[in-house]
Amino acid sequence: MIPLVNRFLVFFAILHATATYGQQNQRMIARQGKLSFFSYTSVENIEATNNQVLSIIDKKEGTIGVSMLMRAFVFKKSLMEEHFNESYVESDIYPKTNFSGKIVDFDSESLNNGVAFIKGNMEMHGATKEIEVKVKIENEGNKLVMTGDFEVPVADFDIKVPPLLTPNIAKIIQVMFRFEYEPYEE
Amino acid sequence: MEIFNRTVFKAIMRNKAYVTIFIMALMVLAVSGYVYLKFQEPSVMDIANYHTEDKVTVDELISMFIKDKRLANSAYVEKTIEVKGIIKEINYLNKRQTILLSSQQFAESFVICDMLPTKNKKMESLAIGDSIVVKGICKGFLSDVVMLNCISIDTTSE
Repeated sequence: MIPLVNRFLVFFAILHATATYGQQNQRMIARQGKLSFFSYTSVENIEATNNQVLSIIDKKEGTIGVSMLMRAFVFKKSLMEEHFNESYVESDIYPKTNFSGKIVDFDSESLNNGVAFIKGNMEMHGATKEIEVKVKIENEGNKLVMTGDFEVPVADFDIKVPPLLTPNIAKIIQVMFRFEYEPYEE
Repeated sequence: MEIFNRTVFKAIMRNKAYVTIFIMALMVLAVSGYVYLKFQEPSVMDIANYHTEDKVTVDELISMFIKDKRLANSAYVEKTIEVKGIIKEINYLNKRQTILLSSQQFAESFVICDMLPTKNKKMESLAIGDSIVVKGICKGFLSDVVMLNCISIDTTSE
């Protein structure tokens, strides 16, 4: 038998959830957003993917937050992963990359199927830069899918590439992402 | 007779030189092959044989990260750990199998387990609500704990 106190707790939890449902539902979450980056040079091509990017979108305000663990990037070769975490992005000191931004000229129709622009600050490797990203928005049932790509100049984020390896790393990194949002529960 | 012996001896010596060159060439090939393979080594690991550094429950793991992120980072990040929890969700987003383990204490945080591809039939029978132990490498915490290279381990034999 469930103790009486616990039953009361459950009852209040349900009551609370129902009362705040309207507010909470304006937020959507993607816990397994996919973000890949590519570095193309004549010497070698480097590619890595993070499948656990966290993003929350506020449908009422038009704000978007993105956060990812640098150590969750998976490379084709383990040696590259090691170099990336230890020498370039210094994951022990800067474990996350964050973005917080807002949809440009946000209104009630901004999140309909189509194209939108998101402007905000990206914080990586201790440096913050303003970026603007064009995204494609698709609504699939109760899900919202956002895809897009942008470029990141390595020098913008104080990432130092040793002179010997300069030919191996592109000056501009291509980034591609796909976030599948679902209504925020609880 | 002596001349004959000398010719045979010479022939043998010449052959020996060839054999030495052949062996050396083989060694060079083996070393360069090893170095090449080392560089090409994919990031896929044989996690089953990794030494488990800690065994925790979902609640313990999440509460560690929420209470003291710095301590939890140094204790768990990049470490092979075993996490016991209840399956909240199994999905195949981004063409990979992911299992979300739920916490009883923290309703909004989960342990996200990125599963290694497996031929294990048992994986197919896993269902929401099952209690399992996942072994993998902890990568850190956002609003959830992220674990990569995960396998579900059988604890019934223990």
